[in-house]
Order: sequence, then structure tokens, then C-alpha cells
Amino acid sequence: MTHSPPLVAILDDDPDNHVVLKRAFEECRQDVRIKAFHGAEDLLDYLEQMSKGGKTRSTLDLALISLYLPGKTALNLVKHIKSNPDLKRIPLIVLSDQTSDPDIRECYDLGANTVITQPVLFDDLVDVVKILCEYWLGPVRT
Amino acid sequence: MPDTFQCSPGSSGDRKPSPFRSSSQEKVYKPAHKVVLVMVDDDEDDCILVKAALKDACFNCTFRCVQDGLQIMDYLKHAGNYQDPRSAPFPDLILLDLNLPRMNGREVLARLKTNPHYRSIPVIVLTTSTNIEDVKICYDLGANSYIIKEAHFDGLVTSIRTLKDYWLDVATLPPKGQP
Repeated sequence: MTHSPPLVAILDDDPDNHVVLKRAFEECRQDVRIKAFHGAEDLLDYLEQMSKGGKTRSTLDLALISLYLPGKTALNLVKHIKSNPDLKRIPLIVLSDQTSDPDIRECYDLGANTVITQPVLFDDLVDVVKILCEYWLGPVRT
Repeated sequence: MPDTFQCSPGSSGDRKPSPFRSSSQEKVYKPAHKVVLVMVDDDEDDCILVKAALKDACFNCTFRCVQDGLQIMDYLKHAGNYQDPRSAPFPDLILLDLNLPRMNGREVLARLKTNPHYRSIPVIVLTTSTNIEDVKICYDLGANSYIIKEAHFDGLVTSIRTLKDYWLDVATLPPKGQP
């Protein structure tokens, strides 16, 4: 159980989705801290800086990345994070728009902890984020 | 013990409304097929408890329990006692204990996550071990998450329901079939 304010990293090139996800998280955990990134390089720089300080796992509770970054960015990022011994234990959730995307299996194959289909409606998104928080900030050990 | 249960929609009791339906948008995100959970645990009581904890909450599940690491490999390969494919439906999720006879949970995890046929199956380690080294090793081997098996029934039920809400209602599971 995480008692300190949880820290969640979000990577999406759509700034509107940062706002929506941040609001959904705040509905579930008022003390949540969101670190939003627009580009994969920015997120990687941040993670690598944290890991150099030996802080990655003690400070970052979750990372959410959009499957729909340009090209194969999301898949390459999953592969990169999950093959780096300093970063691979970060819980990595990939957000998809649809349940049948052929890249979903590849996300799991490359080591994504979960793929979640992001609901369109905000109320539905809050329900999903609530369950996600209850799970990763609840019984799960990381 | 019987290892399969099904809950009809009418028997779901106090099940929460699905977050994936709304009156303004009749869109259902969840797969229509029955979700298959396979638990690998040599303690039959634990299997019974998890099955009981899931039964009230699980809308459309098939639950199977196998006793050790060699049995889960036989189950997946339809070998040994599982030669009839109907006796061993392909898992959507695996709940894996660590301390297992014959082949331990770490070795099972390593085998599953390095095999292209099985590596996409989400594996949730469900163990009594609170050892931080076990947590670390399991994530390093590719576990999708790690949950401490609570000693008290109420705690176990809460954990299993949270697990069920997340993996069966929120997660988009990988499609079944050949890689």
C-alpha cells in the first residue's frame, strides 16, 4: 500500500489527454502527483535521471503511455524500458483506444504490465482510473 | 474438487455496474468469450479460497487450479493429464504461487516469459512471500504484477476482488491464438 503521495508519469502527445487523465486521477487520489510528457525522449530522460539517483522505484508508482504516439514509438519505448535493468520494474500501462488493436499483443510480448482501453466518456474514465489506482496503489507490491 | 464455475448475469448479485456501459453510448469493450483463469498453487485450500472469492465477483469465468510448475507446463502443452484440449482451455490470466514442488514459481515464470507462445499471458504472482528480493526477481523475470496472499480470508477476498476488477473489467487482455 502506497501511503505517500503517489507519483504517476503520463506520456501522450495530445495535451488534452494530459488534462483529462490528470483530472481522472485527482478524482481518485487527491494527493496524486502527475508528471506529464509529450515526447518519448522527455520521459526517457526523466526516468534515466531518476535511475541514476537510484530513485526510480522508490519515487515513481506508475507510468502510463499512449499506444498512439507517432510510428512505433510506444512499442519501442516499452521494449526499451522493459529491457533496461534499471527501469524494467516500473509498472508500465499502455493506453489504447480500441480493444482489437493488433499492437496489443506486442505490448504484452514486450513486457507491458497491462494494456488498458481508455474509455471515451470522462465518467467511464474515472471508473477505470479508480480501479487502476485501487490495484496498483493497493494490494500490488512493486 | 470441481474446477470450473460459471456465473450467469442474473446471479451476479451486488456486482457493480460495468464502467464500460453507459446509457448515452452503448459500447461494450469487453470480449464476449469466457475468461479463463488458471491458478498454480499446491495448497488446495488456497485454490478453494481464491475460487470462493472470485465466485461472487466473476461474471463470466472459468477457473482452473493446477498443483505445481510441471503441471502448468503440461496444461499449456496439452501433455500428461491434460491431453484433451477441453480439459485445459488456454489461459487469459495465470495466478502463480512461488513456492511450488517440482518446479518453482520463478522457473515457471522464466519459462513462460521466454516462450513466444505464452509470454503475452499476464502472470500475477500471488504468494505469501513479502521478501523484497522475490518481488524484484519476479518483475525482472516479467511478472505482470505481484500480490501478497493475505493470511486472513477477508483480506484475501479484498485482494482477489481488486485483482478481478482490474484484470477482468479494466485491462484489455491479449488476444488468444498463435503469435
